Amino acid sequence: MANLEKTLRKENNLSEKQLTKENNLILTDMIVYLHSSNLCEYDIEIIRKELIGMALEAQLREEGLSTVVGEDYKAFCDELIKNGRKKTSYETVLEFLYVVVFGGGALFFYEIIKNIIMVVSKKGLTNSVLDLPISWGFVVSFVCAILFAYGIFTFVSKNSFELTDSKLHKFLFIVGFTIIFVGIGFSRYFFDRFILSTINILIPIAIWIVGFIVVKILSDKHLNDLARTH
Amino acid sequence: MFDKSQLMRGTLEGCILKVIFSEVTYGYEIMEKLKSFGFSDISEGTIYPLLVRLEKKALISSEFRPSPLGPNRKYYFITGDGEDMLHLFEEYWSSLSQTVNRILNLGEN
Repeated sequence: MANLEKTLRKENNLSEKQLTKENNLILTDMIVYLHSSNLCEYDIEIIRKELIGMALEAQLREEGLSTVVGEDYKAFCDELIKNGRKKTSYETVLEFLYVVVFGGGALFFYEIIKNIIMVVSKKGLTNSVLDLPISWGFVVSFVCAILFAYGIFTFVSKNSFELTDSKLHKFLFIVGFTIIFVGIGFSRYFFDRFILSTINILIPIAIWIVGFIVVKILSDKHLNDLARTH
Repeated sequence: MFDKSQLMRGTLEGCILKVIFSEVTYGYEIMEKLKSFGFSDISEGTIYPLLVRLEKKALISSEFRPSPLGPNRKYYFITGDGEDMLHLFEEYWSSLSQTVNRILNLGEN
């Protein structure tokens, strides 16, 4: 089933290329900021389409985006957030599952590939290549990576306007990111020797495939229903 | 200092409903029409969040249509609930404006 939100996003990406550099920067900050809110994802993409349209028409009238939405972009976005449709509980759960399946899946696949390379380089191609040791290092870094990814996303989206303008915010972002990256590296280094359990790599792969199919079908169906009734 | 925005917000919603009731139209045209009637301070940025709000409350609906200028425009229509709300607004505004005018005329006669 095609996802109509993806189609809309592709259309928006294409239209956005016609924007001036300045309008493009402003619009990106606005959309990133809107993503920090609890506005419905599909509605944000619709708002993006409308704002691109307004900006393009303003360009044709030889005006900037600021003459259309005012100088205070954050206040304009706050008005949209206040007045727009909020995510339902079902949409929040779907989004959470999406992050778990794709974010968690990526971390598991990294672990599986790393383990296969290590086993093959030490023992050659044996049956033990299918064994995946789950260490405390992996569990700690897995939880931290998910939490920090969420933290970084929240920080970037809530501070999108400041990150474009303020060097302090950029500095804080880089320092924070480095601390997280080094912290995860240390947790792997110190805790990887403590093995909780060893599982067959086919188990997480099977769980991921089932999770992926279920989340994709539910998500696409919901977004298409929204697109039809919008 | 007198805060115009609080008074404007509710009034503008009613006026936007009236403009959309009179013809199917899009954001920029709504703004131009409101300006031509004397709302000189407003921009598309003022009315767009209100259009989002009216649409969320199902008082208006919309569809994208091609524009001669290039990008598709979102055209707005009034719904049945929107018409009911507009009539209520017209009645209330008529009564409110008479009341406020009487008060503001106090001591002038």
